[in-house]
Amino acid sequence: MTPLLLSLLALADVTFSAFRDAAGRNPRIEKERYYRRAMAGGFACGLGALGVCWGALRGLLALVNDPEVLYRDMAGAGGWMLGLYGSYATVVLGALGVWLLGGSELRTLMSVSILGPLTLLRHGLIPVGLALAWWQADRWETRGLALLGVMLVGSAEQAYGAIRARRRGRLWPGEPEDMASP
Amino acid sequence: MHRGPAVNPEGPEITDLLIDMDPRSLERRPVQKGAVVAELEAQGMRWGAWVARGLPERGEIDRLFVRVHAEMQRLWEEFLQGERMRALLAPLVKALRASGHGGRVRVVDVGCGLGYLVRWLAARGELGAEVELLGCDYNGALIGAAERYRREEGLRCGFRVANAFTLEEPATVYISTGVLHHFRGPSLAELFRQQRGAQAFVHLDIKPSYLAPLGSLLFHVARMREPISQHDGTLSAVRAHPGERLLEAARGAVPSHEVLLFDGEVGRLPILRTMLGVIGLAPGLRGPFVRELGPLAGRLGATQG
Ligand SMILES: C[S@@+](CC[C@H](N)C(=O)[O-])C[C@H]1O[C@@H](n2cnc3c(N)ncnc32)[C@H](O)[C@@H]1O
Repeated sequence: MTPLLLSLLALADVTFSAFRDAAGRNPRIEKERYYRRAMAGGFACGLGALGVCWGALRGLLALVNDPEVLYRDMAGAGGWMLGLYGSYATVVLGALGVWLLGGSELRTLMSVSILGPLTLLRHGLIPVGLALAWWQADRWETRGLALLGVMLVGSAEQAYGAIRARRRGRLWPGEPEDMASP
Repeated sequence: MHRGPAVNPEGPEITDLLIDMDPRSLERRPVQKGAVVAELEAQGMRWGAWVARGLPERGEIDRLFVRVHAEMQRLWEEFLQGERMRALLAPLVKALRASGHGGRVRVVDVGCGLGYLVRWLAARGELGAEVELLGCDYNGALIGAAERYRREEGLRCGFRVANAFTLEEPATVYISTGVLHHFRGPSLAELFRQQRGAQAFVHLDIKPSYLAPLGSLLFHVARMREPISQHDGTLSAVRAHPGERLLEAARGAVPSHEVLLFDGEVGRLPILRTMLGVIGLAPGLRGPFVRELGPLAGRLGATQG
């Protein structure tokens, strides 16, 4: 269960990273379609990252001669990451739900007290989760897998940035031309 | 290097220094990056000077303006600026009708930037066909982009390059968002004086409070990518005019109008009210406006709370 839930969280995070990357680059008024396309792109990137992680997991389990022991170690360390990242995601998704459904004052409250600060906190929280897993794990294979997963998820926004730079500033379909960085 | 505060509340925003023009013809004059850096250093603005050193060269500045304003629009979207203005403007239009103003109502957004507010009102404001929406800004690069986005979405509004101090666009109602703090000293009153011929004005700007600078820093770092947006956005909250200053400037400049604050009260939880409004109403307009506002009228005040 732990790897599955961690995968879902990772997928959600990479998808929202695409939303953040797309935000503030399209000054049109109606842009639901633009955001949907960006998030679909992020979702696809997330699936790719998960493929790499699951491939590594299966590879590691196939290589060692005590796969059950290794899997238990991974599940234990992953449980700590899940506790931390899951709590964060619960608060953010809750606030997002209230923002989507609430009136203007509730929205302001959610933005100011939760959504804005937690966006900043995310950068610090990702390495803390890794440190927890690192500290909990007995095996280097577990630490390596945690590092790989965290690096893939944590660097999604930078990866979009790198692709954007190669595409001369535009990444998601629908971005106006004048948003391209030099 | 100059020693002093990283941010000087009376110092300029970098984007203001990047624009120099003939006040009449609005012809842009070239701005040297070195001069901008020197000016910021002279004002003790180390953060600003550091940001200015990293600015692109002249040919790219206009694109930078558009990117910065697109980021600002994203913040306004999150903080429902369009909805906030509509909540005041729609009752105002009804009040104008109730007090006998027939025909077209011309709403002019002063310092409209990319014209987010005007385009939002055109797309979703439901103000009716008799309301004409026009955005003005002295930055031609922004007006050019605003016009392009308007065309792409087929919106019923217009844009003009114009200086707020020499506006030749007559208006029934002047509006603005995030603009008032750019006008310091006597130019604040001058801006209001320019609008004395209108039936009303509704200007929204960041609401100063003990939490505003910290909140603004946090949001501009969390939501914006361009270092210049982060700097100028944070400084905006530090520079925001208190309600008393807005009331004094507007009442002095437009004595014929009744001037009120919207959300003037700071209250114990200032994070719930991030914007402050200053509203001017021609004689006879207050009664119908208050009636049309309904429960929102409770947030109007003649003094800073
Ligand atoms: C902080 S921006 C706000 C833009 C827009 N109102 C918004 O809310 O996104 C301030 C704007 O005021 C414009 N501005 C400043 N001084 C002006 C003047 N004297 N005449 C016309 N526009 C001016 C600037 O070009 C800039 O676009």
